[in-house]
Amino acid sequence: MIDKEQFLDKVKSIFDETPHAKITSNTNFKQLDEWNSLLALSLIVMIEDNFSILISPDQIENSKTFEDLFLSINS
Amino acid sequence: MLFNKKIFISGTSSGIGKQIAIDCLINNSEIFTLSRKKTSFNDVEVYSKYIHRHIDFQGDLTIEEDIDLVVSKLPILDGIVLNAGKVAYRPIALIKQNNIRDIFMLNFDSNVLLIQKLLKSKKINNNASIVFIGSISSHFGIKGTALYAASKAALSSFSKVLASELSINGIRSNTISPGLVQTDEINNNFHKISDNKGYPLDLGSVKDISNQVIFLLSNKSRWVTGTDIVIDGGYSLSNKI
Repeated sequence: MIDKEQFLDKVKSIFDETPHAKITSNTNFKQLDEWNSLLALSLIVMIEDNFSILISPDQIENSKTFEDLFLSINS
Repeated sequence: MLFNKKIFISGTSSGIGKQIAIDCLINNSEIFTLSRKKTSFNDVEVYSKYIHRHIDFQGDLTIEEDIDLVVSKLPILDGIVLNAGKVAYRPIALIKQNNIRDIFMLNFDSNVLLIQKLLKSKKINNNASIVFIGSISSHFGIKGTALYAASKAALSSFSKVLASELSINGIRSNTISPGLVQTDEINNNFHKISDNKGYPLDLGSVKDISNQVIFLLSNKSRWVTGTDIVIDGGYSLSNKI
């Protein structure tokens, strides 16, 4: 089981432009100005490096908020 | 086209490597394959007809002892296809030293060592043909592909020097740089995220790549050496750097 706070901290580490205060469970991340395909890849690699879970691009595609993504990894 | 030639192919458990192995068999060569996973050809209908011309090795090319063992068991070869490799995408900002080591070990170091050992033990016949499977990504700067593209570019450069050093024996060496082809691997890795639009002739099939490999292995390509052949369904047309 991954800790949600730890997950969000790691998520923050890959966003350079977005103020960290704007990154919460409920953030609709694909609406962020900074969002692009490289960040999607960064998310996948970050999750693999830190939590040893290889997610598919579909899991990002199907998630609206970080909470959705967190739940899909923990399911 | 490859009558009685002895051909070694690495990375044959699926995708492009497996198709090359089958097409080599159909063209009447004798094949020696190496994969980390056991190669099963039983799903290929024609395979039973050629099974006596196939010797399969299991081994890991990143382990030097495995390379030594395979090289000792191989006959003198007329063709070598270095296809084994790994696709892994990672933004530059997230690269760590072990990521560099892993991908270069698999895609570059192991192939260099294998060729060196084959040469030293005189297992490469005069007029043999060596084919490296590179990638279109080494010709571009597609986001996320830094390590993968660099490892394939290194391989392509190595092939050119090899072509030059071995030309005295009539041995040829070439690289094929495929664009995106439909393999099982595509469905479960990061390809979906990368830019897979812009293929005027749509995504390729493993057969599109294998056909070119067969040509390079055959005597019909006797004047082709030291090149890097891009096969990409026209992707390069609309994606100039």
